[in-house]
Amino acid sequence: MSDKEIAQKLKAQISQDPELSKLRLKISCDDDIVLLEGEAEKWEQVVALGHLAAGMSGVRGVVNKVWPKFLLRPKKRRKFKGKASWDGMEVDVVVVGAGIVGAAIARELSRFNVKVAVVEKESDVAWGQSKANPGWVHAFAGVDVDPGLLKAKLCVRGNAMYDKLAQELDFPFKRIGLLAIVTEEELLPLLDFVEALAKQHGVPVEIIRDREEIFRREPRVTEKALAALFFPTYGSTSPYLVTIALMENAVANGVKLLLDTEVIDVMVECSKIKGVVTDRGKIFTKFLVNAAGLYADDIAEMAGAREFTIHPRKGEMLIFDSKYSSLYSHNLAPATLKTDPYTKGGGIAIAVDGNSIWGPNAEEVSYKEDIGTTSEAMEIIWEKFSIFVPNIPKEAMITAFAGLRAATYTEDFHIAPSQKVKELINVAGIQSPGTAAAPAISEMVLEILRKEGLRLEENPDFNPTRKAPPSFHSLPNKQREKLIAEDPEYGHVVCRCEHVTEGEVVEAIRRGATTLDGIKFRTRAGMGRCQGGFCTPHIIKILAKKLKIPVECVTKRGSDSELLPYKIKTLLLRGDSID
Amino acid sequence: MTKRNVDIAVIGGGAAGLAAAIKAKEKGIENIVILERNEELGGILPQCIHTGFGLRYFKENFTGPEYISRFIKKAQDLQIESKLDTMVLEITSDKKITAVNSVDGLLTLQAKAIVLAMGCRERTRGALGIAGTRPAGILTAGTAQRLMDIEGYMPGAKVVILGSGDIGLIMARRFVMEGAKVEAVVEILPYASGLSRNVVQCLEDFNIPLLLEHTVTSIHGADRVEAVTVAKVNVDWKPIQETERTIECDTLILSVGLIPENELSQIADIALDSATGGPIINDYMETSVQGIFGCGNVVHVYDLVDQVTQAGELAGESAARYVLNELPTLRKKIVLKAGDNVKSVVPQIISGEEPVTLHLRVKKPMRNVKVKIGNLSIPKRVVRPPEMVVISFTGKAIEKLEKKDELRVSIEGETGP
Amino acid sequence: MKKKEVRAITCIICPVGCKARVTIENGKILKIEDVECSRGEEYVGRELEAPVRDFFTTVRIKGASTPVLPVRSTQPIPKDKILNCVLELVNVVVDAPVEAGDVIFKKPLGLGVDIVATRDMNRVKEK
Repeated sequence: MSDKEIAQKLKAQISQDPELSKLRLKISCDDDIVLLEGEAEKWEQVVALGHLAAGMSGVRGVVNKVWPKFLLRPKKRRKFKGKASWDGMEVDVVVVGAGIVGAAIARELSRFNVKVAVVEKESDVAWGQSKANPGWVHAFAGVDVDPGLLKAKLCVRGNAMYDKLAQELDFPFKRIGLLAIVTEEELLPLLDFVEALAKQHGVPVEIIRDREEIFRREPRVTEKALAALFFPTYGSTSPYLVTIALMENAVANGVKLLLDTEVIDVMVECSKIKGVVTDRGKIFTKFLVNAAGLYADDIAEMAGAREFTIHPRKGEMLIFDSKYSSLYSHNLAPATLKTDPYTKGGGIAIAVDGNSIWGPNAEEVSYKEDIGTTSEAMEIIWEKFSIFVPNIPKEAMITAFAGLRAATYTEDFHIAPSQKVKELINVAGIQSPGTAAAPAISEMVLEILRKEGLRLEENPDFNPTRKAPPSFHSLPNKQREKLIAEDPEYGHVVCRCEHVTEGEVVEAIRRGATTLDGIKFRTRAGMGRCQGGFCTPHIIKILAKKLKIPVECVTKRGSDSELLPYKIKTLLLRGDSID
Repeated sequence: MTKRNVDIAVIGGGAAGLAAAIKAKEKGIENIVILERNEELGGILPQCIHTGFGLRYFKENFTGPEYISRFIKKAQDLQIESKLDTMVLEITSDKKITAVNSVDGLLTLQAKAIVLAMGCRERTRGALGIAGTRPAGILTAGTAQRLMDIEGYMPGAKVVILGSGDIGLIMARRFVMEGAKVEAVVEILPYASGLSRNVVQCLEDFNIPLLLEHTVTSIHGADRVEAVTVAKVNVDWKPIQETERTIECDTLILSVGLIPENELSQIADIALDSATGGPIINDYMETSVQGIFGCGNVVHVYDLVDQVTQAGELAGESAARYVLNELPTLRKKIVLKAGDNVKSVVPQIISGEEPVTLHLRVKKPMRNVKVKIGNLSIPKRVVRPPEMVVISFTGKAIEKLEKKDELRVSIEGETGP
Repeated sequence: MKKKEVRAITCIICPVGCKARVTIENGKILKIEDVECSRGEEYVGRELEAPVRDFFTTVRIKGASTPVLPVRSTQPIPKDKILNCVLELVNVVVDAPVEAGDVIFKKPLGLGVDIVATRDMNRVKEK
């Protein structure tokens, strides 16, 4: 369809909707990108309009500027940096975003003699979506997903690459398999059909109709199980550890990682990328890879080349005590007819660190920083999944957390050079199955860069191997002794619940952690039952000592999150509080 | 790897562990070692800089540091060995202990007897499932106390405290005295869960509002706490949405329960009481594993350190007798079951042959009560959940107790505070 | 003019926490009811006329392993002087070593008490 036809057909569809037809909207289409402008009454309508537009045949992307009338547009958090300047740096490729996708792309690029800078606004890698998901390495994108979609193809391809990647980069990965449990009788006659749909994605799947077999493989699963579908290639990993590993390897191979650096503008001249303006100076580059997650649409907008809009979709998750996870050996999910087109529905993931993560749910939100958990979602997730694992009590819950999916309205990955500015490579809309797809995404982006003219000359010194830091807890006694003999700091346990030693905390700082959360994600200190009650004072002191900063400046996750802002007596000396 | 044989290993060098080690040494056991994870002995006492300790044991009104220093000095005078900055990783039911520190590296101790004195940890925000964001500024009261009164740093200037247990009340006063503003103490019950003396001295004295039948429903703030939402709750503890209001603050302190720290007990397959979270013990403070004893907050949470010291002494004495082969095997094992209005009773197993002191926790406040244990009935004027009920049986009194395999412990009386 | 009122005061002497009922007329205590023991009666009486409290806090210390030293008053001080006493001590910085019982501040606010250390703190070398 032509642009005009697309716009007309969309207007017609909207006019047939009783709610949406009442809204004052401006609808246009240019180069197969739909542009929606105007006012809505509530956020659900904004999302509905975006999906309607994306559903039109021939549409490449949807730019949705419709906004609810009385909803405040939140100011983006600007953090004070006051650090060294990068002004004048010159590279071949700037990658915006150090999530799993940005890190994977940077590592791929480091195989070649290419000058790369990864620019990340947070104080550490993986702090967007990459840390806020349960770590499923999906075997495929889902039975209700068209296998022709980009995310479907990249998922299957990426999943297959994980064994080699985990070996090279020394991150935890287990092909744990997924048992999708059928409890609804109505689904039983449809199992062959579901199997066929899965096979279309090219994934191995097995129907288990023998209930005894289900209980043999998973003895403690619910008695209500009538049948199951087994997907053996499902994996479980720790996406933030994957990101850290990818980035460490990239940096070891010459990539520059610029943390606490936010892109505030993109310099374009004659439809060519000149560079980026960050809050720490200008960086000149030939190519710009936009892997900015939730903010990918803003980056594209800065380049005058917006072809999509990200609408955040929150997912909440619950973490359960590891002592119960050992009761189960596969990831579990409900096999159900009640599907939601925009989420696979979540499940129970046995995380590689031993805890189990339930969820996520899905809720459209308007604010890109809305990662608060809600008691409603906690209840919903508990109700939905507890029936499958009757041995896990509610008291076993350690904590809850939430993340946002960076979804485009087409609900598929958008990986392509922008039409207006060819050297801007958009790698946007990477929601689930992003973790699984990441290695395949990075391959695809390299090919795009090559096609767009980036010279890829092999780097003879490229070393694909990266070793993870030692983890005292998981070592056998003999190796623990050796470790302590080399460095006595490995004999001082500072995290009681996870048995993390001072040596590991110091090593994490050496490898780039500068915050309490950075230590937490690298070492697991603070992730156990006491949730940092014992270790926090120790870790704050170690960070202050090693980073040579006052204790008052140690943060949870970067500027404005200082943990102990006042030295004792400072408040009294200030004199304004005691009356 | 250092391997050693010891007579008694005491895990935890706080009030309970010190009392046990001292008593065992006094009873003639030479080869004792205290394994302590902190950089000094004393457990939680060095950070409890307020008074109220030792009223019974010493007939004095000491601060925490003053109380415990007497035991630390005694242990030093008796030359009891202690290893600091030492974390016990594992214990087995045949009393093998694996521990680690920077000086000795990995340590394996084969003990003849073990005294568990690991104390307890605090319930967390995560375990409560409080909704909202996860910014800096959320701490449990004990951790805040350590940071303020040992490390010398304040976590914030404008505080809301969830939970009116003693630790929360004590910290409310500390915050005010260090120049912070305490906006409110929020308590889900219709009465404060700490001792009334603390409500007076920590809240009323400083005009700190106590919001009873309220809870925190949500935390706000991206990087740092900016506010909390509180709401009144109904009889089922469910927040009433219409009563929600926001309190601006930069710190949320949680004082919502103590949990005996029994990871090690579980690894050693020691039987635990689900009502207390601690090991099931008998008159001698012995657990289900012969030669492993438990005392102090690791068994159940006490109100007064004086009681913890007494428990430690009993455990230390029993451990010593065990090592000297002088601990009698109990002929009878009467299992005490918690009945009406009784949440927990310790010890859970008694012989009925020896004088014994029972510690009960009640579920609801009552007055003019009768504490019924089997055929015996003991009157008490008032019982309240925050205050442990202590019932001592002399040798003569225990003779009158009916000797069944199981006895119910229950409380009858008039409900009401 | 006679002004009679009944005030409720919680006794803090022991864990029972009797809720005393005190009848006052013209500022004088007429009777104290619902108190179990004489110590409690004594406390309640004094609480109305001249309430006192134990005083304890921390002061800064240099040269020890941690930067604060816990201290207390040798005797209880008037309740309404607590915050003033805190401010009186705010500029104190002690030098390690210190022993429990050492006087850190004499007669703050002219009160008849001293502020003493409640623990030993050794001198340690700067790391």
